[in-house]
Amino acid sequence: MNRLEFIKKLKEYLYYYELRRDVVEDIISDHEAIIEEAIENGMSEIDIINRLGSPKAIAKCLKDERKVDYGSTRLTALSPFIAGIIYALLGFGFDLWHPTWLVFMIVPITAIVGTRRTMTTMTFLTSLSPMVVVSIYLVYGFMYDIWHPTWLMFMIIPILGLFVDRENPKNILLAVIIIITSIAYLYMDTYEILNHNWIVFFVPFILGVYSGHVQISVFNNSELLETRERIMSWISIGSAVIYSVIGIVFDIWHPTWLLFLIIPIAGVIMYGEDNAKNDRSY
Amino acid sequence: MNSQFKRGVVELCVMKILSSRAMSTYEILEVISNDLDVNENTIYPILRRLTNDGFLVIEKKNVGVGAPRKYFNITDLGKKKFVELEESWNMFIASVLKIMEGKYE
Repeated sequence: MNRLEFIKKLKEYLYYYELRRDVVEDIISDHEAIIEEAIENGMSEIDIINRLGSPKAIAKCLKDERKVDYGSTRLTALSPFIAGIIYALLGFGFDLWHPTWLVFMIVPITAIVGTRRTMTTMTFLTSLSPMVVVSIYLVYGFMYDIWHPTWLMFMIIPILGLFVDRENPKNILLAVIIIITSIAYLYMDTYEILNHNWIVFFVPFILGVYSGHVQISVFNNSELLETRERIMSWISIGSAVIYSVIGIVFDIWHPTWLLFLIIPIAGVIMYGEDNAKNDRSY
Repeated sequence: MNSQFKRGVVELCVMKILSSRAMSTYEILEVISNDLDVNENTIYPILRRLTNDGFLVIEKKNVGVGAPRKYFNITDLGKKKFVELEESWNMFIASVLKIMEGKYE
């Protein structure tokens, strides 16, 4: 087995044992570094790979070391019922069905808060940010019927995500570009410069593709690639296609963009269980 | 050797080695596997666990043209834990040797 095969197999088994994606990436990066350092020190690729052991055994050892926080798991499991009770009480009691349904946001928020100890502060804030931003945006929108340009607050999510690894200058650069683009958009929107001024967001998008921050990997044929990843990719692409078709054919861009909310919702549904499983260590 | 026991011993060795200086996973693996029959399957999960428990800290250093390399260093909490583990280990070994040498009552 060569280096590439070893890394590929290890990745597949780590996903197979349902380790969280960020943990898998960290482990893969560590093993690549170990192999690289061994080769630098005069070991052959075969020797270091033999010393590392079988990818399956490595993944199994890491899975076995994983600790489960049953307390947070229970709370996460209970949260839909708690949200349901609050919703029913306010709905039947005070006829407040809308926007009380937002109380269901406590389900993903509880799942993320339950895994707080597994994360650094920045990772925790990044994980929490989609739910918090969506909640603030919707509450503000429903209360004041202002949906634009408040949607710019969604830019907080990628910016926080980029600040997770602050040591990488590319991340800081892209975060600064997103901030500048948002300010530029706001300025152009306020003074009505250009009709389709949203085009400016192609700048951070294209730079993101160039720097590798934006990746699309639907057609990965890896035998053990997570089904969830395939589904998430198709949901993302499907949302964009449906949004574009409805926008172009019927000229309805708002509130059709709400369609994109299906992406974080699907993510929480599909990866939420992992977050509960992977407490302190993994 | 019982794997749980082996893991405990390796954990102690890892902390001892890192008490002298920060090392990468490869260096730790090299040092330990010179004297003990362990592979990376044992060491790497221990390093992750000790880091998550706050006994070790990762320092990233730029080496050559590649990505920054991770070096593990022992924290103050780790040093304290190591002293406790070392004392327990010394007492345990002393008791085992006493029995093995037939010096029991």
